[in-house]
Amino acid sequence: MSQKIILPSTSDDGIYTPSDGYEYTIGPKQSLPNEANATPTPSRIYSDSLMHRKQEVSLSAMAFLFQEMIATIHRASSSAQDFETRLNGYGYGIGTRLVELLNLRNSVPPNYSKSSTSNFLSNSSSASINESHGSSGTGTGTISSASDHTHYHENGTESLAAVINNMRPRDLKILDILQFVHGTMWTYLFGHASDDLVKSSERDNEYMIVDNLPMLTQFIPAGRSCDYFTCGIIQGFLDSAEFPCRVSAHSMPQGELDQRTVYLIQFDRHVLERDNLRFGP
Amino acid sequence: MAVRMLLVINKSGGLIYHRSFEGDVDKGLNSNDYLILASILHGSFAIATQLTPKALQLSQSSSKNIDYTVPYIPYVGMPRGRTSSERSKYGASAPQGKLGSFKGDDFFKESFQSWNRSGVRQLCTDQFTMYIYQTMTGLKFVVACSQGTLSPANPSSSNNIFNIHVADNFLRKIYCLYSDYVMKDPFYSLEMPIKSTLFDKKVKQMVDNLV
Amino acid sequence: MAIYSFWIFDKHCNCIFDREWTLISNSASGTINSKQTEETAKLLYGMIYSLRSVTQKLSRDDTANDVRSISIGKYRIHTYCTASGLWFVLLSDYKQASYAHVLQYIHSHIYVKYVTHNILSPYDFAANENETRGQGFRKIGNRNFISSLEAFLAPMIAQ
Repeated sequence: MSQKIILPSTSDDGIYTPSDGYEYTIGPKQSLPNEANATPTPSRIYSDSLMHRKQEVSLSAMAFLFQEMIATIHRASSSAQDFETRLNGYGYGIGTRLVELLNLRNSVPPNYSKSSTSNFLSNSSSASINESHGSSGTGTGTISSASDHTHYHENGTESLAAVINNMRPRDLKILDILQFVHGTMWTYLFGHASDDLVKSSERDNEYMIVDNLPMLTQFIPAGRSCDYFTCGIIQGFLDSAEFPCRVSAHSMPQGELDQRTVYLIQFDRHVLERDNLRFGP
Repeated sequence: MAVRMLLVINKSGGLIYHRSFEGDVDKGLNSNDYLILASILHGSFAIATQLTPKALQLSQSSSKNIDYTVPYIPYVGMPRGRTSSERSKYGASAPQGKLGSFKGDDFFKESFQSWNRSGVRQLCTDQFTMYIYQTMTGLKFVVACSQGTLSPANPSSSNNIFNIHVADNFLRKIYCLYSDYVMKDPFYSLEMPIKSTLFDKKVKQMVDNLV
Repeated sequence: MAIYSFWIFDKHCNCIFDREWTLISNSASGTINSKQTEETAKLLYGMIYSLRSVTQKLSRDDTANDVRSISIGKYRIHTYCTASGLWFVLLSDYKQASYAHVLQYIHSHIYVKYVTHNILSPYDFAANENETRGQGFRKIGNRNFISSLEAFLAPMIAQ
């Protein structure tokens, strides 16, 4: 009896169409086999307006990047404590920068983007708007999509500073800064305000921010807390706003929401004392 | 509908995920048996390529005429509401019901190409029907259901082509779940058994949606 | 709708009859009991056998859970197993849902009539111990059987 070894690579590939699905010995194909005969569909991305596009990052891309970051930190760390500290450190740097950035962006008058958009569309037809901006030239170079973007004019000078008449006052009260984190910062980072902001009933220096579905860690099964990245952002933000604190993440499933995460913020004692001295108990 | 079990087989024939949805299916089968079972399926898959009838090999045209496009069948495995707004309310946008990183109310809305061109796609037996979906990278998703079809809208369908398409739609969504909840898990090592509790949960949710 | 080939296997894993059509347009084309298809027969038997072992393992109760049909990219395999361990296998195009009735008819009206009832045909196609494990080479050469089968299947080839 003759023994013929089955060689999947010598299958009917040559006889048939060049593509026969997955080929075992070759492995994944580099290009789509139906590429050749498929008519290319032009991507919508070229015809989309730059101005009205919502500024969004692909969640998948972000999740993959985050996943690789976690994996790298996890490989490098010796203990769970170490892992959390490192992850916290990664977020901390983002947090410190956000204080400046978000305060500046929030100082832009709300009607700014609207007027500059019309300015761009009408293409130097309206001189009054140009004047009101106090900017040079025709204003055609103003690229604006939303209020939270940096604006440059053709000559390279920053135009955003010109439109800000009054800087937003610094948040001094604990509650104000927490509201800012809960609302503005969360919206900037995750596209929605956090689900709850609670004051601890047991200790007066503890506050909790609740997120029902953490954006970054929603694909990561429970077990190891990867939310310390967000903790780091919060901590960095509050620290550089002169509200020194410690932040920790706790998974607290509630009913259907089994990925609900609570960020516990513990302010240093002197923050509370300062708050009491300035604004009364 | 009654999905009996779901298997995920990696590109080298190893079983990386196994789940039974009805308790009694497991009788007398240990995890080793399932590993063997997965390899057998994988092997048969390769053999099937070799068995193409001569008539098909000779006539180029007839084999080219076969259309491997699988049409999109709406909302297979998605939460079913009476209206589309209700569906999207309870489907994608509600955080607890969210099944993945897609936007809108379904994973995809276009027809797609089947990569399973020369392997087993459907296996009909006396007690159940098994469907196999293969991805471009050689990953295989296998589902066995007690009735012939997975379509909740048309439970008595005996149109095999339609049934295969429904199953392909369903398994492609499981593939979407896999790419979300397994591939984006930093603690998962490639080609190894899937332990993610989140993937477990989402798969269960999707299977329940079929009923 | 078209059929591509037809096979009978006995309980010793031997292929005892094979018929393959090579041209859909010509029902007389192709091979009968050819030596060249030996390897294909073994692969076909092996695949159905392993898939059968899978389905029987997954069977919910002790009743045999037999494979009815297997859909493969370009074509479809239909099987029919008799209590005596005979397998009737038909390869058709991928659209046809079930050929169970056809295979049943072939068994009950053609095989039983021309092979089982034929006193001159061997009862068991494996003549000795050495041929009970797939090494058998005897085939059904009965002219009446072949012509009757041809007459029955010919209309289905080029439908």
